[in-house]
Amino acid sequence: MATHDYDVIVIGAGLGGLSAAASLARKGLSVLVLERHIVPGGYATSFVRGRYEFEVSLHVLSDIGHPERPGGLQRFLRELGAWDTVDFAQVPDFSRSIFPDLDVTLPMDPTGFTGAICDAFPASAAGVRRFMGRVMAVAREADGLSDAFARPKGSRVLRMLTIPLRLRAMPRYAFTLLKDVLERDVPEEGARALLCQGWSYVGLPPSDCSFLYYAAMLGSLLNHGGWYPVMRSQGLSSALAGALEAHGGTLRLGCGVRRILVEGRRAVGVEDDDGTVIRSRAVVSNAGPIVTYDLLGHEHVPDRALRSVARRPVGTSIFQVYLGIDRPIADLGLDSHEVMANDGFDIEAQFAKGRTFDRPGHMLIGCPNLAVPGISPAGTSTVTLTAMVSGHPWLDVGPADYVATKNRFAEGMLAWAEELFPGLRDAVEVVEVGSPITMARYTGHPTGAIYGFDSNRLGHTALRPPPVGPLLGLYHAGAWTNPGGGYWPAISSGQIVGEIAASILARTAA
Amino acid sequence: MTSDWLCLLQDLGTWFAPLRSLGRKQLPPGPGPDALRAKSDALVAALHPRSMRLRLEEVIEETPSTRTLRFVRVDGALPPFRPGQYVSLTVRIGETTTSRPYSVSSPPGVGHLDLTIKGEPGGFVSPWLLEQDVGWEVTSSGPLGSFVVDPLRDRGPVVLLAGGSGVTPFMSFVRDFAATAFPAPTTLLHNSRTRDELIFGAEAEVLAAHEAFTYVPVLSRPPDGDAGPTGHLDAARIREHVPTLDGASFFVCGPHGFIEFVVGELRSLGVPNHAIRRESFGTPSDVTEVSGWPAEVAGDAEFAVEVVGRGVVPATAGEPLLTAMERAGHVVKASCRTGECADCRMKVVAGEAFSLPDAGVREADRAQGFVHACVAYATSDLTVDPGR
Repeated sequence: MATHDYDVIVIGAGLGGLSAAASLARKGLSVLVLERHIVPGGYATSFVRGRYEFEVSLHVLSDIGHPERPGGLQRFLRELGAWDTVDFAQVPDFSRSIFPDLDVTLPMDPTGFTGAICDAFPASAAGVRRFMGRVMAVAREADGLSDAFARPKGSRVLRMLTIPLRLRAMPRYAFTLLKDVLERDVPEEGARALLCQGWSYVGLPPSDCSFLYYAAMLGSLLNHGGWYPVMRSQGLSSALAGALEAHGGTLRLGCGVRRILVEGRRAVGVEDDDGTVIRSRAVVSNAGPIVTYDLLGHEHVPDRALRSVARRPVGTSIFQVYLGIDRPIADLGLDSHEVMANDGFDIEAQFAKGRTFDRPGHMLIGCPNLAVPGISPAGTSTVTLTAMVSGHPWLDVGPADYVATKNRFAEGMLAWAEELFPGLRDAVEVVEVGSPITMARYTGHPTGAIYGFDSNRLGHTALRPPPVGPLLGLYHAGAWTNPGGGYWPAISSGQIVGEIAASILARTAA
Repeated sequence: MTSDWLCLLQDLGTWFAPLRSLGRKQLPPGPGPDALRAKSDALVAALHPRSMRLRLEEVIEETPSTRTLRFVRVDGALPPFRPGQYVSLTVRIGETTTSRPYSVSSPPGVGHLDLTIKGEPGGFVSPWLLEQDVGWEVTSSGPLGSFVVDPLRDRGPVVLLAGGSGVTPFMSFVRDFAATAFPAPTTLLHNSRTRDELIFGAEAEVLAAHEAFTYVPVLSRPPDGDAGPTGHLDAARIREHVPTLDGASFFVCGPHGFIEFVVGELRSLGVPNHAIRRESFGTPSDVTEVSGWPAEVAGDAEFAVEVVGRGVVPATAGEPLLTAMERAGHVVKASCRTGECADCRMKVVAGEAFSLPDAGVREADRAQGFVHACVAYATSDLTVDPGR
């Protein structure tokens, strides 16, 4: 009988890995997390340049909710004992959405959001209300899924298995496209574009996006409000890492994994970057199935698993321009923490532009100072320009052309931001650019994918690669697997793995 | 009501779509997932190698105390870099493994990396490096750092203010601009003690033939009879050679004290913070003079630093924790040694440490007691955990 060093080894300290590790440690298992980078969090981190600290990825967090009606994330953090170690500020609105001939602020609540769109497009009002009714029906059931975790008694795994029997809206829209519902309900293109303003939070245009996935995201934000950790997403990651250590787990930074050890059809440990073999009863990989299968060696992975991964399109990446500006935010004319710039109502065209090196058609102008006023030194502000782009074309940029290509792309975004908010560029003190290659550099995700595989009609939530891997003792956590990309989905994937792996380990001899 | 039934029928139709596509086993266009990962990893490695093996090809004497070490990479092609970036060399001297960041002085695209190093008397690493012979190999980081002329931000005249060997990153700027095109009028003010010690003086004079480039050496201790500007890079000198301050970007590089002085002079001229970029060579010579230092702790006070899992090392209050750990034989990953790269991030789990005001520690980290050991100083006996 082989001995083991830990019950569970977790590869990667992204949100999924940290959540899985903290859950498992809380259940009394011995857990080791190996992370190649020097800080925990994956995409949920920040970096410092000069006197500014920049949020890497977070725009707004869903599922925190209010104390009287907590969302799934708040409940999970409370369960881990981490709730008191991280503070959140509520963001005032969903977005200020700017189009060539339209400028609308969308409130962050179901009534206000629907009302603002109806006011802007009265002829579509009935359809907008119908559409939002469907969204909220899905969101209610999605909430029910995380409620299932909240109840302390009984088998969570059993509850998870029986949940589908109680769902109505979710199965109904399981294979429905966002575009189909929009076109069915809403006559005007402008109203559709407003309803789709959150498309970059799921990374797909209406013609390819699961309605269910979009609705769960939008409905959850509107229901529970939008939140922002006062110390940026690094504060959230640190809270999860802190919970892991408080429950006796170990986080080792600056040390990745070279390969996953397989004996028979079972994952039995890892060889770390230093060449040390560490054995465990289970391995949770936060690296996504593509990288994980390479770490296993394809000879150990069943063909059906390899084929299933090959069929799934690797999803969107992002292009980011981080600005430290030596002016108060009020002087810049920015009055919403999330300005969404659009070159027109055609979201499909906006998405298509992200496959090219042309100036993007949709850009988020994030101003965390409007969520957390003291987030940069007095008299200054931080602004992040974000465009959804595919990482695929960036792989064909030669190393010698890379900096020039990246600067050209960023220049297009900066010029657009300056057109909308004149004077924005005058006091830029720090500028840093993150391309899809930058995302790939820090996370190891192919093409710098931020949401893992596309959450398209055949690849969202339960249709994604399952948390239980194709080998015994192997589990997946993170955006690539069930339920999908984004902060709360990635965290809840870890929560799900924690439940399943703990339950299986409890039933097998140590 | 009828429309809802129609919708339901449509939804039922979509239920069969996946069954149809399952039969076809359609693959998305483009390379498969392994090829995608390989391509993605290869580009990342070509742009941002985690480490490079460099071989010393040539040693060029610049001044009596300064030499340029010309390196080629032996384990792959040199990655592209931006002028102003540095590489960090890891060296083992006796029982001590340590690292030093050096700005690249050569322009990109020439097939080698020049590191121009002054052999500081009493220095630990730089005199040792200058003793190495052609053929010597060393491990370095990839190119790092953000002290660059960025076309997204620096859209006006460029003013380069160098103290001593602080001219090295600027030489990379100027050589690159001269070989391609000057993006804007560029002025280099180089403060050096004497003409003998002036690094790159002759080459800069030649490059000054470019209409867009002005070169002004300023000597602080000139021998009698030396013609040309003398003194320091003070407000008057800057104003004399930079007629239009408005809209210009100022780059300041040199020892810590030089930067403090020049930035103060620039501010007195009304240059806004956002127009000033700085790159410090090393930490303050006397940390006890830095604002916020606890007055009751003397610079030569001795403290015991317990490194979790690796025993206790002695540390002097006036030296960075990183130095104390390295002297005791610990191998600690570190690149910039001024805080920004965060490689030497570690947690102070007991006791007190002082961090420099611009230590670059993330807010969430600060709240949990993390420091960057290269810019953190023991102010009591303390315990650090370098593993997390």
